[in-house]
Amino acid sequence: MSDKKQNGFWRMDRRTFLKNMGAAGIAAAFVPGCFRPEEDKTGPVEQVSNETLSLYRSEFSFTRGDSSGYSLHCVNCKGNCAWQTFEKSGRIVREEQVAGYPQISPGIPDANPRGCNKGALHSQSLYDGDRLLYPMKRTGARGEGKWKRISWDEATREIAEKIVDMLSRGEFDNLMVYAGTGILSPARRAAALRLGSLLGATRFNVASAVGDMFPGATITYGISTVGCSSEAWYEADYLLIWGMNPTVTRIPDAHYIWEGKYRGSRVVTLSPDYNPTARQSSLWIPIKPGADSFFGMSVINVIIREGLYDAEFVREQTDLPFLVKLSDGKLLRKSDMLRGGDEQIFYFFDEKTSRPVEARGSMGSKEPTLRLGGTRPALEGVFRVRNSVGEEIEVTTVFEMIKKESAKFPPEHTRKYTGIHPDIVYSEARRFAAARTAIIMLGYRIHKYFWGTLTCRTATLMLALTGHAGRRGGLDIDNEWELGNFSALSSPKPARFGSGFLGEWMDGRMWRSFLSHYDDRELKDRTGLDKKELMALIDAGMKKEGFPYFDRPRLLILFHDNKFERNNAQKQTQKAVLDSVELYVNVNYRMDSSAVLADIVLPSLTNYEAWELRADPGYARFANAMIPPDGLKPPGEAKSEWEIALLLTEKIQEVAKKRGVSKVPDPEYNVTRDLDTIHEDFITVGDKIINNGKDLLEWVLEASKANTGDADIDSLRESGFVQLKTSAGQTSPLYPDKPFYPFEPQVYLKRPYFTLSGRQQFYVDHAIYLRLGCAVPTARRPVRPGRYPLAYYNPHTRYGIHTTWRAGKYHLRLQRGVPCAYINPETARKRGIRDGDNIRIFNDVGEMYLMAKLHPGTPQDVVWTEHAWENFQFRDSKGFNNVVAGIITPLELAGNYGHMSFNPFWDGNQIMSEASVDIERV
Amino acid sequence: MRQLAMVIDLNKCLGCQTCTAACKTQWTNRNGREYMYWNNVETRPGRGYPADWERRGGGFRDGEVRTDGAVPSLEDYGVPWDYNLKDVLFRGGGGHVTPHYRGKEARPAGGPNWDEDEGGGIFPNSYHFYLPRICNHCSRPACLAACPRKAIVKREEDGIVLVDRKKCRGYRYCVRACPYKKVYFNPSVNQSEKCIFCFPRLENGRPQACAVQCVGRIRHTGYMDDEESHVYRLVRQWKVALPLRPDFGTQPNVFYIPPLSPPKFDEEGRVTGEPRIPVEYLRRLFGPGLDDAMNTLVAEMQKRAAGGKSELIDMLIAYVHKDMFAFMRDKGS
Repeated sequence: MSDKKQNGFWRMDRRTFLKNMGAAGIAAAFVPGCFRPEEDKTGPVEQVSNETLSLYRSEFSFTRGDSSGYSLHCVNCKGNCAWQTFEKSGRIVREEQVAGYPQISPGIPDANPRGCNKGALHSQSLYDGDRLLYPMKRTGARGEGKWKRISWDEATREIAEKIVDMLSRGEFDNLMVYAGTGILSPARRAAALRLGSLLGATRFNVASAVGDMFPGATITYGISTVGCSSEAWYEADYLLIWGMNPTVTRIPDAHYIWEGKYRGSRVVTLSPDYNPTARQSSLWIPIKPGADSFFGMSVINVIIREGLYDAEFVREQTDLPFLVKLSDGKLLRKSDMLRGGDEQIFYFFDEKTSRPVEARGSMGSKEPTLRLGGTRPALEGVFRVRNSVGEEIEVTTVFEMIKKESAKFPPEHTRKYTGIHPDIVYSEARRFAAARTAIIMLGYRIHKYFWGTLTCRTATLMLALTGHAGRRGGLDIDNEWELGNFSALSSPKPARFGSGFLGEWMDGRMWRSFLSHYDDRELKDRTGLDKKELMALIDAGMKKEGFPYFDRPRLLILFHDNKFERNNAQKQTQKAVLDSVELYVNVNYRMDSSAVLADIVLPSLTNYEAWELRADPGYARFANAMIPPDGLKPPGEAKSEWEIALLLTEKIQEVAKKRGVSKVPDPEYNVTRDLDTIHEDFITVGDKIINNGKDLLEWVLEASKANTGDADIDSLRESGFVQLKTSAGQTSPLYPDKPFYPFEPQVYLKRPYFTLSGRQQFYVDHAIYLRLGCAVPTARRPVRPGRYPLAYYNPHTRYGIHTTWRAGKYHLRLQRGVPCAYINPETARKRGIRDGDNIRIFNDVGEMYLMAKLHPGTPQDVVWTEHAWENFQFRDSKGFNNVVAGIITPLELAGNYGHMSFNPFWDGNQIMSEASVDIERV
Repeated sequence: MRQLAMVIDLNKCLGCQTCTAACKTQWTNRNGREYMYWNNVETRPGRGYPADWERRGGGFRDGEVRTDGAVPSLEDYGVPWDYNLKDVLFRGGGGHVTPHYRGKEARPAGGPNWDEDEGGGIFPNSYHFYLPRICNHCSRPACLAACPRKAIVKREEDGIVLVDRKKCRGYRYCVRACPYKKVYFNPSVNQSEKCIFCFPRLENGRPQACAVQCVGRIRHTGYMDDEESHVYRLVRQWKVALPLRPDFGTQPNVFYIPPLSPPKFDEEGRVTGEPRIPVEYLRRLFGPGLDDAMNTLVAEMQKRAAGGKSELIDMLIAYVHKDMFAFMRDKGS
């Protein structure tokens, strides 16, 4: 919509503005004229004129609009905040937080107002120059930005023809229908999932594809949706913020940390650079990048050496009393003790009866409890037990193994890797162990390092040893609330659900940059594996360990996924994927770095125009709604994802019928793909016909009743949100008046964890772990090549959620306006780089150009830029991941081992912080 | 005269710019105000917004208002650049997306938050903090004193300082006189404009956008004569909220809880007892009340941490968001 069509105060566009300025230009207008002021002779004014008052009053009333709705902004944010949106003349003019959340208890600060700068500026971004308005087809070279407008009919016909072609030949493995992290809310996402599910298309495990897995947590607890509500941060006595920057990345919730610090908590931030969270903390501990596992092991060393551990907790809740055979380092199993015995039953040594006792609660156990039943599991000692063939074998405990391993890492020794003075480790280990409540907030960044999984295991072990679980704290990474079961909506038929990290690796041929960037000798020295051996493990990951990979896509349909921006070795990966693609369709509300490479783009809605209910981000206990204002008109021909998928199924059905294609067998899943009825199948969910976003929200609300009570569209029109019920807590009850902590059923009701051992598991006797010497948590040095002097990493920014909002002018005006790199002033000086200079970051994988920003909080051996700029913000579209080599950590390639078998919680990561680079002035 | 005031807690400030964004969409994304940030958040130490505002003169000297300073240039404020998104992404214009101004590519050289997160010190003893700034609605406004047109009014009912759109002729004496550089010249109407303390919002029972939308929950607002209000208690009773650069002589009505900082390291990497932010720097910014304010704050935090009660700390925690805005009670809402 042009500026002319708007009324009121937006009427003056830039042209008019400049015309008013005259030829002298704006800069000149700032200089006061050298004329004599005309003095006022009327005497002092006491009242300001009515013109002045009414001008601002009417501007205010304009921003309140003619109608209002509700929305939220989290595209892949852990925020989730209720906002009111205001519409005037069909357009959103402003937004403001609802700020109506009830206080849960007088002793806990309320959650208001939630939100952040991105939310407060979305009304400006959604009409920016990158908004997609019409279906378009590429006319120039890929990525050139040349398009022609086509009709929805033309667009969907071309896609449908291709789908019918491929499916009639049974080429399911080459059809990808994938919803990225741009829509994670249940109703909108379901459109893409349902379409892919009916077609039998491939998709990736989304968290793994983007590298947001927490395998270290899954190893310990069996799941990784582990964490507290942000209210718990307020209550904690000791908060260790590790590889995380919540002041920047958890803006709506961060106040609980700093209010907790006022109350008396100790907040310690551990990070390589002095970040905005560090500046507010009680103590900042600078650590060398990637050396985190050494810090964890040194704390464990102090805890064990000084006897600061909670032996009773450890005996009952962890596998630390489990017996390990000294001969081969494998756990003692019932299959060792009894011919035909269960491989998933383990033993501890009972101090009372001096004999091995089967531990209850493991995957093989028939007794789902952790209760010790009068036994007292030994933590220390070497014991002799008689196996199934009558031999005496020597066993010891997992605790002994951990004690022995941790003895290698006294703080005096780890200092050379971490840069942390031993005094700090001693004093913090003691405070941590003594704290009534301690929480470790471990950031997503940790698993972006090669040894992130080890670091996470040291963190969970620190917590386990000190009994910080249940209402005494624990690991806080990624809590999620349960809204309802939507599988009837999203998964009517099985889809081809593939491993994310391996899928991206294979499709993008990422081993090329792995082989070029990493050094065989260094890799062998740090991991015990050379490149060939690691490549063999990756191959075995797919063939033996159960991580599914289908094939490279030839038809690629992406919904809100910025795949070509986020992947490592960006330019190489992009080319490798697109070389095999015959048709690439991108569904999006804006032209992002991936949409611009597409053959066909289809315009969708933004959060302000859509209907939705979102509850899953597990910090705040509220489900927030998207309800568009009555008068709002989506721009151009933008449609909801559901309507887009619906049009596609309509066209697929039409094309299929015309060609006489009806039900295509899909023997791998023992179903048929019914192209002749796919449209009816798509819109019919149970006994409901779903035609649009509003119908869809009604269905979701119905399916969410257990967790949202009586919330319906009418009630949400009043409030914009609903407080979740007790049952919405997945790992514990969500009490209406208390902060949420995970694993209360385990800690207080003695139910098993979701692990092979049924306990918090620290011993992994999978062949890969034994081979790497990582059966117990340990520490390893980073593998980044030494031939480049600087470590490179890319933490999140406060101005975007990944690429969303990154190219927004209002956001960029509050930064440097162009991508910039944070450099220590001394590092810059040595290279003749001054603040504001254009610099090149490079290595053998690639290069990129940024503005230098001299930053005293950055260590000398690091250069960093914020994660997820758009590629098109860089010269030659060489984006922020262009210098990051592909690499996979062997710890995430173990499978078919109890809870460590491919599933949404057990998949690998994109390692993004393990490259090294150099920089130069351009 | 009644006076509305604001207290801004620099310990809780996230530097998230939600206040800046809220103010931008409420008032300054249009009509010649595009370059203005009536509310900005700057990193300290740093040049601030507009660049080097502290060194640009204004305020009072020997009882006389100073108007000898220079009016900042558009570059000092930051050019409100736009982007060639349409050209590159939709029209095959080639190249990459870059900042543009008046149709030409512009290499940014400054901006309202240019030195974000930089601060001072040498690694690992670097330091910084955030300083949100709006018009101070001073009790002795230099802008008002300098205006030859008497176009600037300090309202009797709430002390809000407003530029009268009927009388202002755009001479910019106020811009030069304001030592905080919080009066701006709007070239499209040839008049000065500034933060209006969101008076139309207040009339509708809504606190200022920068305050009520603040996600760090750092802004308390209310009338200084309301002894129940947080602003009265923090400024007058506890004396932990201090004016910015009181030496300018304008008697600001925006006050700050000064920032604590984590300890420095010694040469061996041991933790020292010394805060990272030099006390003399804070003293220069917040005046002679700094030491007492810091001592009170630390003592009350220790008391609260030891399980004692502290009215001050509870107020800063701000258990109930609405309680931060005392005038809401006046409005009976």
